[in-house]
Amino acid sequence: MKPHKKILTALVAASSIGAAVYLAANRNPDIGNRIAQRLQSILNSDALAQQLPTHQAGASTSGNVVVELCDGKTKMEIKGLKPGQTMSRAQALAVTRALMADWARQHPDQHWEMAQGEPDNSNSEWSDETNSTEATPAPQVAPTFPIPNFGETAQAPAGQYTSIEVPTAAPTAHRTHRPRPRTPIATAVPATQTPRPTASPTPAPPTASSTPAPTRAPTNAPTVAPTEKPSAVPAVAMTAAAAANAMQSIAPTPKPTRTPKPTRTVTATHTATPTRTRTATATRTVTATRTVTPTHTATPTRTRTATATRTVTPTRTATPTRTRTATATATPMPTPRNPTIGGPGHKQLPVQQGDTYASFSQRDQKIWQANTDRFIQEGKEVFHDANKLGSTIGVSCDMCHPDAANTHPETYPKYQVQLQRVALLRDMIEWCIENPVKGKTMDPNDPRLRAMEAYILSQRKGVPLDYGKH
Amino acid sequence: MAVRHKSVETKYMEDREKVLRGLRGLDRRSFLKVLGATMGAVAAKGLVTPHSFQLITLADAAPDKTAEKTGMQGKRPFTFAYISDTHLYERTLNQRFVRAAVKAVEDVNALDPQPDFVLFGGDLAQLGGRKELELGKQILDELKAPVKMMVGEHDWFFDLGEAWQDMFGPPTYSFDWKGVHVITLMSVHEKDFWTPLKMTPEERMHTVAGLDNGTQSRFMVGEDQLAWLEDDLAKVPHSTPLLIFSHSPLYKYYRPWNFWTEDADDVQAILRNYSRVTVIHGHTHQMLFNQIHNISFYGMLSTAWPWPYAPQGLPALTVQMNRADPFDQFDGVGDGQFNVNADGLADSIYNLWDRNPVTVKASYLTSRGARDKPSAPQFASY
Repeated sequence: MKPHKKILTALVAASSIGAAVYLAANRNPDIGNRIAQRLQSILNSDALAQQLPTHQAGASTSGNVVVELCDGKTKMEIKGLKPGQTMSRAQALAVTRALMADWARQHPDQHWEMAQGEPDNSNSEWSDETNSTEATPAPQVAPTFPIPNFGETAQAPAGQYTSIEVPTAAPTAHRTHRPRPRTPIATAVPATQTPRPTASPTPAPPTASSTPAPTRAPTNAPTVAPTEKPSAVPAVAMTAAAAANAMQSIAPTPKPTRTPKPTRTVTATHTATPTRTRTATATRTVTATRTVTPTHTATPTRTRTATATRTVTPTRTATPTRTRTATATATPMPTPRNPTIGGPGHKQLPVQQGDTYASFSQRDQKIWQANTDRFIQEGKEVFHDANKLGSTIGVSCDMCHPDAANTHPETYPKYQVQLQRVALLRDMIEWCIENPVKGKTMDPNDPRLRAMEAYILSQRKGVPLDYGKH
Repeated sequence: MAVRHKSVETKYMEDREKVLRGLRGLDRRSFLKVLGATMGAVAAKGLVTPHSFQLITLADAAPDKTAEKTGMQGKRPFTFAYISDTHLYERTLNQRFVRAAVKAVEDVNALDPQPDFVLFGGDLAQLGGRKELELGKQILDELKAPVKMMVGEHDWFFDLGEAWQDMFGPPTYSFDWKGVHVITLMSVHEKDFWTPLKMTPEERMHTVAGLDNGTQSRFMVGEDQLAWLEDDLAKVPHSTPLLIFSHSPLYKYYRPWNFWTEDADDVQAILRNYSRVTVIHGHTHQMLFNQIHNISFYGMLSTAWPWPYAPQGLPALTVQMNRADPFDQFDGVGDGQFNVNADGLADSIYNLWDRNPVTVKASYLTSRGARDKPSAPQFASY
C-alpha cells in the first residue's frame, strides 16, 4: 500500500471511532463519560497498574487535586495543586502527614495499622485487602491543604484539624518521615505530674518529687543520644495554622523548649500531646526513666539503695515503680482501647506489629516483589555486559559464570587464601572486575555493584548459607 | 612492606620446580634414593589408577599386544593432540586469550614424538569476526603437526560461517587414519531465531555467544548432515573403529546452557551399529566423559577459561576436574592428547596447565566405571 493511502485509511478509521463516540455520548451522557473514563484509564495505564487495584479519590470541589487515605474516607483537597501537576517529595510528605494527622484526630484511640487490619463492610475499593474500622465518621467534605510553592495560602479553617501535636524539633522532624499515628504512650504524663506519679505503693520521697530528674540523669542520658541529623523537611504541627505555617516555609521551625539531652526523642515524637509544653514534659519524664534504667539493668547495689533511702522512702518499693515506667515507655504499640480488637470472638488478623510491616496487602507485596525483581534484572544486565562492567578487554562475568554459577555467594564471608584476608562476596566481584575483566573497581555504593550482588544472590535462592566454606 | 601474594598453586609449582632443579645436582647417595623411589613408582604403575605424581604414558612407541587379541592386526595405534576453545578477540583488544592459545601451540610443538595431527576443537574466535579468525589461523599455523579444524558456534554466527569456510574449508568431512574412520561434524546449527527478532549479525553473534540466555535455539546436527553421515558410513564396515569430532557434546547434558545437541539421539542411532565409537567434543570447557551404549564421549579442555559444571545432568561417569583457582589464569584450562590404541579406542590425557595431567582410559568408560577410575578431585564444584 502506498503511503498516502495508509494515511487516508488511518484518517477514515479515526474519524469513524470519533463519530461513534460522539453519537454514543449524545444519546446517553453516562455512556460518554464511561467511554471517556475508559480511554483515560487506557492512556494512563501501565503493566503494573493493570495488575494492581487502583485507588479512586473523590471528586474535587474546586478543581484541585484530592488525596485520600486507603481507608477510603479520610481525604484532603490540595489547594493549589491541579490535576496533572505533581508534588515534590517534601510536599507529598507534608500532605501525607496532614492526612494521617487528620485520621489520628478522628480516631484518637486507634492505631492505623490495627484499624486497617480490622474487617470492615465498607464499600472501599480496598476493602478486600486493607479494611478500616472507623470509630468516628470522616468529614464529608475534603479539607483543603495548601501546598508550598504553589502560591496559595492556607485555606483550611481553624479547627479543621484538631490539635494533634507533632514536635517540630529538628531530630523529631527527621524521624517523622513516615506518618505513624499513635495513641498517647503510657508515660505521657501531664505537665503537672511528677516523674513518678503512678503505681508507687509508697509515697515518693520529698526530694524526688521536688526534683523531676535525679542529678545523675545528664550523665546517663547521652548514652542513648539520637544520631539522626536535623532534616530540612519540616515536621508538621497539625493545627491548621501550624500546618499552613509549616508548609509556607520550608525552613525548620525554632526548637521548642527541650531538655538539653533529648535522649528519647522518638518517644516524644510519637506522643500525641496537644501542646509543646506537654511534649517537653514527656521528655522530662522519659529522661527520668532513662536515669533509672541503669539501675534496673545493673544489679542494684547496696550503695544505690542507700542513696535513695536517704530521703526516707524504702527503696525496694521505689525501684519496681521505676522499672514499670521504663517498660511502658519502651513499648512501641500499646494495647488499643478499641474493645473489638483482641476482645472475645475477635478474629486475629495477620497484622504484624512494628512500623514497616505493620499492615500490608497483596498489592504491597506485588510492588515489593516487582521492585526486587527489577533490581535483580539490572544486576543481570550488568553481569552480562562487558561495556556496563567497564571491561577493557571485552570480558563479562557470564563468560565464566553462566547463571552466576560458581560464584557461591552463600560461602562468604570466608578467608580467601589468595587475598590472605577474609573476603565478602563484593570483594570477589571487585577482584574479578579488576583482574580477569580488566576494568576499574566500583564504589561500594555503585548501583551496578549492588545490583550484581542482588543478581548473584538471587541465583542461589534456597541454598543454605554456609559462610566460611571452601 | 606488604607480603607479596602467592596462590597455593603458585607455591606448589615453585616447590615442584625446586625439587626438579635439585635432581640435576644429585650426589651418589641422593641419586640412589631417587632411583629407589622411581623403581617403586614403576612397580606400582598399573596397580594404581594413574593420577597426580604418577608416571603417565604419553605415547606408545609401538603397537601393543592387545592388537593380536582383538583381531585388529594391521591397525596401528597413534596419537593426536588437541587445542580447543581459544575464544580469541582481536589482538589489540585482548591479549589474555592470545597468550593462552600461544601457550597451547608451544605445548603441542614440544611433544616428542610429534602427534600424527592436531585437532582444533572449535570456537577459535569469540565473536566470529574475520580478524579474530585470521589471528587464530596465524597462531595455529605455528604448529608443526598437521591441523584438523572443527567449527564452533563462536566461529559461525556472525556471518554464518562465511569467513571460517573461506579460511578452513567445509566444516564437515571424514578421512581414514591408521585403520580408524575419522569424521568431523558441524554440530552447532541453530534454527533461525534471529530473523523474527530482526537481529543484526552482531546481535545474533552476541546472543549465541552467551550460554545462559533462552533466546537462541538449541544446537543440532541437522537433517542434511544426518543424511551425509549415513552415506559416509555406508561404505565403512561395522568393525571399523570410529572417531567422531563434534563441537557440542553429541548427547544431552544441560539444555539451559546448550551443553546439548537437540538431535543427538539421531546421531547416536546411526552410530549404534559400530562396536567401537569415540566421540570427542569441545564447547564445555571441562573434563567430561560419558558412555552411552557403545559410544565413549570425552570433553576437551579450553585454553581460555573453564566452565563450571552444570547444576544438573552431569554424566555419572564424569570425574570432575579440580575446582579452578580464579587467581591463576592457567588453572582449569589447557590442552590434551589422545592415544588411540590398537583396538581403536582412545585414552585421553587432560593436560591441565598448572596441575598434574590426568589420564582417563578408555577401559574406564567401556567398563562403565568398574576399572581404572581416575582420582576424585580435592575440591569438587559447589
